[in-house]
Amino acid sequence: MASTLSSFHALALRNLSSRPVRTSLTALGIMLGVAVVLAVSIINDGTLASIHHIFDEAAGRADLMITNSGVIGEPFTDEILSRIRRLPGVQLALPVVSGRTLLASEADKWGLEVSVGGTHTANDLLIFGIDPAHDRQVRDYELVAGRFLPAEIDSYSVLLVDEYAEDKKLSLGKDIAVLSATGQEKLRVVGLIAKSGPGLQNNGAVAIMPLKTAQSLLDMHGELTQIDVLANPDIAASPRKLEALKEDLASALGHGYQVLYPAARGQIVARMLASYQTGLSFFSAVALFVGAFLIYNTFTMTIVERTRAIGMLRLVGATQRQIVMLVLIEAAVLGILGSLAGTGFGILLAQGLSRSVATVTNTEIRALRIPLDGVVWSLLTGLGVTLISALLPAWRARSISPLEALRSYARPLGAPLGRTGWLWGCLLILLAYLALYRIPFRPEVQVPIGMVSVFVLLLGATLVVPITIGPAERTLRPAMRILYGGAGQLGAANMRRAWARTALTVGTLMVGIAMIIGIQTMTHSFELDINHWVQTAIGGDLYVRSPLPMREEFGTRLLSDPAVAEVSPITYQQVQRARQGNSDSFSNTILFVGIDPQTYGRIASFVFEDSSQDTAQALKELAQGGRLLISVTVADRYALQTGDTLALETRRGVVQFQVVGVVVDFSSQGYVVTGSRADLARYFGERTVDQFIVRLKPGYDPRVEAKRLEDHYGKSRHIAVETAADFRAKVTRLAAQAFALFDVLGLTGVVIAALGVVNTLLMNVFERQREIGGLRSLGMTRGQVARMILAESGAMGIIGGVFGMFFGLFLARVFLLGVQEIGGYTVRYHLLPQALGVGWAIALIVSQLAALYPAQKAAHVRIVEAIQHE
Amino acid sequence: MMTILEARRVTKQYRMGEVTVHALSGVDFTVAKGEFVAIMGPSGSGKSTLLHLLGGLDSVSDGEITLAGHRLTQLNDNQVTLVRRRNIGFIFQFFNLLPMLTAEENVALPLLIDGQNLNAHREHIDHLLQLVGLADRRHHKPDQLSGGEQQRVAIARALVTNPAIVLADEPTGNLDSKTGEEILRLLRRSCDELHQTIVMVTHDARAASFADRVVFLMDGRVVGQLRTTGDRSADIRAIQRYLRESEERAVLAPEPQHP
Repeated sequence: MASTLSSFHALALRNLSSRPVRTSLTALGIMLGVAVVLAVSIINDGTLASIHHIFDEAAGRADLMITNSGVIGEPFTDEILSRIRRLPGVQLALPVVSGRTLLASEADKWGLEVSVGGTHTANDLLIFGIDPAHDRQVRDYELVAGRFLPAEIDSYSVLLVDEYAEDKKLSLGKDIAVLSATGQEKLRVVGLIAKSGPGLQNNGAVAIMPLKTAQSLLDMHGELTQIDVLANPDIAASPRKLEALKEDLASALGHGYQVLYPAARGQIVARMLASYQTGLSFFSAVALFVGAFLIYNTFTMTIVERTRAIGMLRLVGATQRQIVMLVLIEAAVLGILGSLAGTGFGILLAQGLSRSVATVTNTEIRALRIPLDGVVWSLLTGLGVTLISALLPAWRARSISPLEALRSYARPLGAPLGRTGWLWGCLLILLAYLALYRIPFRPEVQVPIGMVSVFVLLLGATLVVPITIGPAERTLRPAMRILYGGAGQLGAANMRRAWARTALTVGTLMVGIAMIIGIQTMTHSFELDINHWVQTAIGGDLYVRSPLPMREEFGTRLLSDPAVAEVSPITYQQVQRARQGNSDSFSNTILFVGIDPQTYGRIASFVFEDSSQDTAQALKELAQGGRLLISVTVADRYALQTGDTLALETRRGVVQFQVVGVVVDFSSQGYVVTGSRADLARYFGERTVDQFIVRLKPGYDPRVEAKRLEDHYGKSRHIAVETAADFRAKVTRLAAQAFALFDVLGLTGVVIAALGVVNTLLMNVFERQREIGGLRSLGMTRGQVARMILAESGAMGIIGGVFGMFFGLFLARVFLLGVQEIGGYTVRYHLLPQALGVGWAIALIVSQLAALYPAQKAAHVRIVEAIQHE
Repeated sequence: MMTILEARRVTKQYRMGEVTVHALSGVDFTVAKGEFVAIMGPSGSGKSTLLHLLGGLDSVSDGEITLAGHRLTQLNDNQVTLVRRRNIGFIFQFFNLLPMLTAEENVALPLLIDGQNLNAHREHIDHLLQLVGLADRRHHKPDQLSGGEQQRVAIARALVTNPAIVLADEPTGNLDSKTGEEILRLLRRSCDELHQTIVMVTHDARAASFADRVVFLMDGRVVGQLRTTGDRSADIRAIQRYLRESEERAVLAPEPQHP
């Protein structure tokens, strides 16, 4: 007896082991759900940790950091250094200047890459200028070879990261040539450091040199980009005192500076990725949601199947509570098994997916950390979701009467919430609709409410499915007859018999398909809008850029080229919206695109939100100065419209710019304003050119001309010429790559839904063994039996597909809304007919593949045994 | 003799659509400790309904049922469940064994539900398995046992808690006559050797002849009873004669009036 049942609750284990296929399928569903949630969480954590790590290491032991109040990285005068040093509480104030350049040997290989955070150069070298005499009091430089920088702050010495030096074949004691504002400069490599601490910056592509040398290279004489402050030990030890020092510093420095905790820098970068990460988390949660459907379905079916057994347990004295516990223990065991497997699989999945996330987010993910709290959390989530999903079936099991044991056949359980479930469903859909479209929530709660609404919407849709099964089956019956013969008609009709179960399975399929269609439509809308914007707004055939500031006169040189028809200069400048209330600097950073109103219109145009506006008129307005075009995102975020004013911090104090139009723009996450280059010079002192847009004369091949121009000017001016087509392809590729991950998550949902279909059909086959035996004894062939099951599944697939299409389109709208809210992009909705086709095809294929095993099982039912089956 | 089960003026009505069905109308019924009582009657006479009420599986519309000192009619579901667990053993026509448990585990199930340590009951379970002749098939699952064997497991299960009463609903209805006879002998033995009180519903006169007393039910009322003599052939004839006569009386009697 010792090896047999030890307690009543152990019966739960026996129940699970007596249905190995169903148990495995359900556990697999839980496993996939938990795996994607954990994988996404690990990747997100890894990305964030990497970002924070880099900034923390680079900041070293500094307690506070001072930067330009506008944009971090923008220079400010070094005169404030002495003022800071005199402040009580400041032990040390270290100047830093940083900027980007290239190795002279790589100048011609320079290129622009695109990621979800914006554009960045592919092979640039970060110049990090420090005070060699004191910097090591704050930062640790792990010397691998050679020595540290000499104490003089103007020596032409440099430290490189050993890995980078090896990669670029640069050796200790030799000189390296880097581009400077005036040409090239040579620096002597005096030491190699490990890729740690300050060496982590820019993924190791960093040249650490004395301050003056860096200032000279970057043409930033007398300017700094950052001051690191080490507080007196007693202040550093007390967060309250440190906060007081921070405030003292801020008030001493006044307008134009900001004092940050070093960690804030990492946070700012991390926030750039937040929308993407939120999206990933959201879709992984949906996969788990589909898993919850599978669990609910499985348990409901299991309880129907065991109605008599449960009745018998009640009869011999099991209390209602014991029955509920029995079901919940079964769920808990399944949940633990599924979650444990999911944790293992999730870690593997994270490793698989991390590379593509790293590419998309342009963040090198360091060795993936498996966070213990993440693992515990995903185990608890898996277990929690399983238990919650099993709660309703358990509650229904509780109400099974002992008299059920005396019936010779099991009575089917109805749909959830009974016959009025569809009314509840409609109500939920309405609620979701109102929450998403009609009720204006505060921006900070909009995204969580949107996510909850999506779940409410899908749940509501699932509750509506049951009432459609009858009419849908009648409509599909002729088609099923044509496709599968007489057995097909019978199969379709079978769907109505266990309609509650069918409805749940259709609902599960629906959620999976809706995700796929929603994601596809969102991606498509995004791509269309981006392409339209790239083609219209950016225009031109070639983009001429340089890692070093270009002069406007170079445009005239370009124009004199026989292939060039038009040239227009563009300058990008990060600016700051005048501070309002307690908003932080990040949410006020805007990209100012300075254009030349005279030439811009000949090459490119604007995509206005209000189609009655035209580019020529807008350019005339911009030429008058003090006027701006704002992006839809800026308009939305700051509640601005044409005619309003936008206050920007400038060198001349706060200036009110008049808004003369709202345009679609995807650069810099949508936080973009367009004004004249003259205004940029007047208010921000920025006269250089970042990019020339070039239109070629007819008959010239952009690719050939790009190569020719680059060869012609590349050596002397370090320019890179890219064709508009290549840039467009890059943007499209990034979008595809970014959304491919969403597709993976959506597909996981479909796989889980497929497991649900297998489960349903297996249970149907098991329940109808006697009937199948009867049909076989009447002369139905094995093939016909199999076709009957395939037809039933096919019909479920078709209905699930139709529902999925409808709600998928709805979901796409929600996703786009979410993209706008959390990502800042405003994307117009574009229907993609192919997505509907793809979703539907997936539903059909999944339904047929999932039915193969159950159909095979049904076809091999032994007639004699089956007709004795009770 | 001590009364173990008493039903007083038990009435049961339920609605089937628009129609109210009077399944039982003021039934009085007692069972003494150690007695083996058979309830007989034609289909629809209310005998299964009575058994369900006696076992606390369903609630009365009116009247009282007292079992082993517990007034079932005044208890809530949980309390009735506990009475059922500890005081009643059930045997059914369709055996109702759990397919994933072995014969031995099925027998032990009521003890498991009661949270008891099975090791303390090992001897008792062994004894019951021997009593029903399945000691060597204890590790078999239901689908490896014949119908008669499955019913013997069900009997052992019904006896495992030493219940005050065993309620059997057509226990031989799904068995061939030879196996059915074996099962009835087993029930008789448990009554004689273990002094087990048994109430059995049957429509078979031969099965009823194993009881000490036969109660006849018709149209939801007790219409008479008969004490057996121990001479089985004579008892069967007497029961059959009684059934025939009561049916004839019923045909001639006016329609029963329900308030």
